[in-house]
Amino acid sequence: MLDWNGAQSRQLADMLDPNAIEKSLRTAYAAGNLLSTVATVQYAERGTFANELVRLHNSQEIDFLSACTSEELDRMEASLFFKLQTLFCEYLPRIDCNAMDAATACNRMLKRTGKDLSAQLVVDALQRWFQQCKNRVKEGLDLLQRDTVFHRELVRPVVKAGACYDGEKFTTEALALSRHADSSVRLKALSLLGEIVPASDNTQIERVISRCSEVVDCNDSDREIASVIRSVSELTQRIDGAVSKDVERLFVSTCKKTTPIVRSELAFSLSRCPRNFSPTMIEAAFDALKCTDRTEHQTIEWIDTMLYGWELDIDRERVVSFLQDLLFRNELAVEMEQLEYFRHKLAENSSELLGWYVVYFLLTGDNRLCRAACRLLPSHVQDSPKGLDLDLSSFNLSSLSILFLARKIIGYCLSRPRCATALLLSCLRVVSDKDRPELERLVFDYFAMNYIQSKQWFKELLEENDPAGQSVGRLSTQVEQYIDDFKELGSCPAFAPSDRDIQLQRNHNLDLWRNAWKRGQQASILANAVKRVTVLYGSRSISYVYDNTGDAPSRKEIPLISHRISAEFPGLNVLDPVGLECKLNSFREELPPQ
Amino acid sequence: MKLILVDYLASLKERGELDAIIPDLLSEKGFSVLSRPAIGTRQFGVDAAAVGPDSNGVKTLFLLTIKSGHIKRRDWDAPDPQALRPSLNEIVDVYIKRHVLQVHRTLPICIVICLGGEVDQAIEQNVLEVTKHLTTDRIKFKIWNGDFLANMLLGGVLREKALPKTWQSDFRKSLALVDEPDASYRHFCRLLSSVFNKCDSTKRARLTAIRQINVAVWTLYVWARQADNIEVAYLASERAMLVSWQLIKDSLIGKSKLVRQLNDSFERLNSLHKIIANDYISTYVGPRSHLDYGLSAAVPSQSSLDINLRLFDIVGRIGSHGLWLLHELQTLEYSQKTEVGKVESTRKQLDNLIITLTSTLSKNPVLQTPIKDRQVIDINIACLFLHYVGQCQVVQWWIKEITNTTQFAYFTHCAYPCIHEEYRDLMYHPIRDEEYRISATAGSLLVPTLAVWSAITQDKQTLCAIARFASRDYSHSTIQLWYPGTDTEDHLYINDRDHGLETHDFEIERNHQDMLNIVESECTASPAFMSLSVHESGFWPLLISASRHYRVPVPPHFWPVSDWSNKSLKQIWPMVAP
Repeated sequence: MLDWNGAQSRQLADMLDPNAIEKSLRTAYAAGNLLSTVATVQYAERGTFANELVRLHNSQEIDFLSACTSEELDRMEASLFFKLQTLFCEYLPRIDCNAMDAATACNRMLKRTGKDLSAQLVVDALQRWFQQCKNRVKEGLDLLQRDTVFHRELVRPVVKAGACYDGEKFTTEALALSRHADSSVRLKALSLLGEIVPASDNTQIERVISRCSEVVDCNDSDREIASVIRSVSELTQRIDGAVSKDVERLFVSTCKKTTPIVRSELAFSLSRCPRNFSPTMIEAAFDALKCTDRTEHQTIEWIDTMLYGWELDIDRERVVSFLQDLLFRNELAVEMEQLEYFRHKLAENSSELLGWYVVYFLLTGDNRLCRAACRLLPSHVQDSPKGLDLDLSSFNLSSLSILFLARKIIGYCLSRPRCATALLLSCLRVVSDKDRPELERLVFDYFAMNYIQSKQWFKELLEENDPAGQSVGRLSTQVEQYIDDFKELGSCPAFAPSDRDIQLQRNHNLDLWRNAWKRGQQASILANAVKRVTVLYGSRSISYVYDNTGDAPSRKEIPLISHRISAEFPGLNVLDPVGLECKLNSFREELPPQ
Repeated sequence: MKLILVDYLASLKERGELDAIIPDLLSEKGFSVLSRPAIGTRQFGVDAAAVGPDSNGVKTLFLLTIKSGHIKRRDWDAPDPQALRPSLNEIVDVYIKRHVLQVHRTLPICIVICLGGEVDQAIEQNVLEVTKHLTTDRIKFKIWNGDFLANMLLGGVLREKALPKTWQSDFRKSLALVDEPDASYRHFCRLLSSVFNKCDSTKRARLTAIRQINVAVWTLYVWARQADNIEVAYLASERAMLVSWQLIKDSLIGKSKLVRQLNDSFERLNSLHKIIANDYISTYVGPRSHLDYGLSAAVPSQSSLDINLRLFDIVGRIGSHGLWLLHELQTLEYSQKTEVGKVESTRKQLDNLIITLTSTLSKNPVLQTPIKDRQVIDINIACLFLHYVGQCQVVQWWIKEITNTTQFAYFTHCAYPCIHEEYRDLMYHPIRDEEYRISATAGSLLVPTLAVWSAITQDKQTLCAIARFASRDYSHSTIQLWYPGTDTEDHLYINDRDHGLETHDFEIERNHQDMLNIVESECTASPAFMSLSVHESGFWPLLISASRHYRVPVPPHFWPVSDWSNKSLKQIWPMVAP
C-alpha cells in the first residue's frame, strides 16, 4: 500500500517521462488544444517538454507553428498567453521550418502581444532563429528584398543575425534600408547601424557616421533622429580612438534637436550605460533633457532610471545642477514625486549625501526646488537620522544665509520633524555667536513649539564637544520651562466645548479616519494582491500551505501582528493653524540673501 | 430643595456673598433693613441691622453679625477681630451703647449670630455660656444657622406660591449639571423664562422675581465654584441680568421705596455678575495669559475650531468685564458715598484686566484669525475696552494683524471668517472651492468693523488694504453695519426675535475721516439708540452684555467716531454722568 507522498512521487516521475509527454502532445495536437497544453506545462517538466515538442515538430509529426493561429491565440486568457509566449520564444530557435513560417508565426504572436514590452522577446527569438545558420539569414534577406514593406518586422532580426556572419555586407544592407521609402523600415535600419557595424572597420563606421550626420543635418523627423541616437549610443559602447570624436560630435548635434521623442531616446540611452558617454556628451544630453516636462512620463521614467544608476555622490554638482533645471524650469517642470528611483537611491545612500542635496535645494530659495527638497526627505523616520546633520562648512555660508536656510528648513520640512531637527542642528553648529540667539529663538518659536519632544531629538544627535551643545541645552531648558509652566496650570474644564460639539467633532474625526482607511485600502498593493480575511478573535491563525513538491499541504500557525501607523503633526496646527501657515508661507516666500 | 440651600449657604464666603443676601432675606420677610454690610467702615461687630417682629410679634432691633461657613474653634476667639467672640463683645460694649439710633433705643435688642453653616460642637458650650453671660432683660441672643436661613429662604424669597411650578425641577437640574455647562445653562434659561413669564406687572412681584433670580444665580455660582467650572455661572448671571432688566426697566420711574429696592436688587445682580466675571478671568484666564499659547493650549480639545471659538469668546468676556469696571469706576467717581478703597481696588482690577487682555492677544495668535464673521462682536467689545483705557496702539496692532491674516486665509483657502454659525458647518469650513468661498463670505460685518477701527486708530495703511480687499476680492460680499431700531428696546434683553436696522449701501473709504463720517452720519440718523432704557438709566454696559450674550452686533454708537483722540472718557460717555 502506497502512502500519499509515494503516489505523488510516482505521478511526478510519469510527468517527466518523455513517452508520457509525447503521448500527451500528440493527443493535444489531435484534439486541437496544443497551445493550451503547452501554456499549462509545469515548471519541472519544461525541459523534457521542449525537447519532445521540438522533436515531434522537426520530425513533422506535429506542426507547432501552424497551430499558432491568430484565432487560437486571441482565444487564450492573457496570463496563459504570456506563458505560451515565453515558451514559444524558448522553442523557436530550435524549430526547423522555413523563414516564411517562422516570420508568420512570430507576426501572429506580435499581433496578440500588442504594445506590451514583451514583444521584444519575440523579435529576439526570431533573430536567434535566423542566427542558427547562414541559410536562414539568406532566406530572410530574400524575403526582405522581395517585399520589404510587407516583411518590415524582419528587418531587425535578419540584419542583426546576418551581421554576425558578415558585418560589412549587412552594414551596407542596413545603410541601404535606412534610405528606404517606408519610414518604419528606415527607422529600424537606422537604429540598427550602431549595433551591427564592425567595431574594427573604420571605413564602415565612417559610412555609418556619415549617414547618421546626413539624417541629423537634413532631416526634421524626430523619430529618425531618435533612431540615430540609438545607433550612436550603441556605437559609443563599441568603439574608441579617433572615430569616437566623430561619434561625440554627432551625438552632440542630435541633442540640439530636442523634441519629446528625442529626449525619450536620450534618456533611455543614458539610463543604459552612462559610463560610455564622454563628459561633453553628458553635458549635451543633460542640456536637452532639462527641457522635459511633467507630461513626458516615459522620458521621466528613463531619467529616473538614469539617475538611479548615476554616481550621485561623486558627481553631485552635475546632478544637482541638472535637477535644478529639470525641476525649476516652469510650471510644467517635472515634480520630484515623479523621480521615485532617484529618491529611493538617495534614501538608501548616506544621509550626508541626502542632506547635501536638500540643503543645496533649500539654499536656492526657489519654491519648486525647496518643495522638491522636502520630498527627498523620508516622511516616516522614527529614529534620529544620523548623518543628516551634515557639515555645512562646504557650502561656505554667511550668517545671513544660515538664518535663511533655517527658515527654509522650518518652512518646508516641518512635516518631516526628525529630518528637520538634524538639518537645524547643522545650522546651530555653524552659526556665528552674534546670530545664535536669533537662530535659537527661531528654532524655539517655530520648531520646538510645534514638536515639544524635539529637545530629545536634538540631544540624540549631539556629538561630543558639539558646537551646538550649548544652544541645544538652552533650547531644552526653555522647552522644559514651558512644559512646567503649562503643567502647573493644566487645561481648563471651563473652556471645554459643549458636549454636542465634542460629539460632532468626534464623529467628524471618525469619518475622516474611516475615509483615510478606505482610501488606503484601495491604494494598497498588498490589500489588492492577497485574499482578505477578517479574523474576529485570537492571536494566531492556522493555514494549510501547498508547495511545488507535490507533498501534502503543511499546517502553519501564523502569529497575528498588529500594524499601526502614527504620524506627528505640528502642535501649532491645532493651536493656531492659520497663523502657522501664514508664518511658514512667509519663510517659504523669502528670497535668498544677496 | 432645603438640602440644596443648606449646602449653598454653607459654601458662601462672608464678604460680598453671605452678607449680600441676608438683607434681601430680611426685607422679603417684612423687616426694615437699617444698615447693610460695608467694606472699609468700622461696624463694631454689626454687619447688618434691621427692625422687625420677633417670634412673639414684638417689634425688635435685630443686630446681625454674619460669619461664613461653620464656626470652629479658630473662628471663635482668635486674635483676629473678625472672630465671633470679639464681635459679640464689640456689639454689646460699643454698638449698642453708641450707635443705636435714638428712635430704636427703646426697642428690645436681638443680637443674631448669622452663620452660613453650623456652630461646631467643640465650641457650642462656649457660645452658650458667653451669650448667657451677656444676656440681659433688653438684650437677647439668637443663632441663625444655615438650616434656619434655608427655611427663611423657602418661606420668603423662594416660597412655593411665588414660584412657577417647574422652577424647582429646572433649578435642581441646573445645579446637578454644573459640570456640563451647556446642559446646565439650558435648564437655567428655562428657569429664567418661567420666572419672567409668571411675574405679574406689580413692582412688588418684580422685586420678588429679581430676588429669586439673584438667589438662584448665587446658588448656581457656589455649586459651579465647588465643581471648579464656573462657565455656567458666568452665562447664567449674564442672562439673568438681561432678563431682570427687561423685568424692571419700566418700573424704575419715581423715587419710591420699591423703586429704590428694585434698583438695589438689580445692582446686586449686576455685582454678582461682576464677581463671577472677575472670578472667571482671574482664575482661568489671568494665570494663563502670560504664557505663549497658554490659553489656546488650555482648551481641552484637539480641534483648532474649538480653540478659536473659545478664545474669541474669552476676549469678549474680558472686554465686557472691562467695560463694566469702567462703568463702575465712573459711577464711583461721581458718587457721594464712595467707599474708602473701592475706587482704588477697581482701578487695580482694571489695570490687571488690561494686562490680561493685552498679553492674551499677544500670546495667542489664534486671536488674529477669526473663523466666524460674528466674532466681530468680541473683537469690537475688546477694542472698545482697550481704546477707552488708552491702549490704542494695541488696538491698531491687533486690527492690522487680523486684517493681514484674514486676507492671507482668504486667498489661501485657510480658515477665513465665514458667515456660518452652526458648529457642524464650521467644522467642514473651509472647502477649497471658489463657489463655496463666495457663499461662505456672502456678507460681512467684520470687514467694515476692521475698517472703522483702523480709521479710529488712524492706520491709513491698514484702512487702504481693507478698502482694496473689499472692493476687489471681497466685492461679492455684502458689507454691512447694524444699528439699533425702534424695536430694539423690546427685544434686546430677551432676544425673542430679530430687531434693529442694517445698512449696506456704503463703501469702505480709503480716507479715515471719510470712513468715520459714514458711521457718524448713520448714527445721527438712527436715534433709537438714544432712547434705549440702558442708555437713559446709565447702565450702558448692559448693551454690551446683551450684544455679547445674544450675539447681536455692538451698536456703532459706541465707536468714538468724532474727534475721538481729544476726548476724555468722561466726555465720551456723558450718559453715565449723574
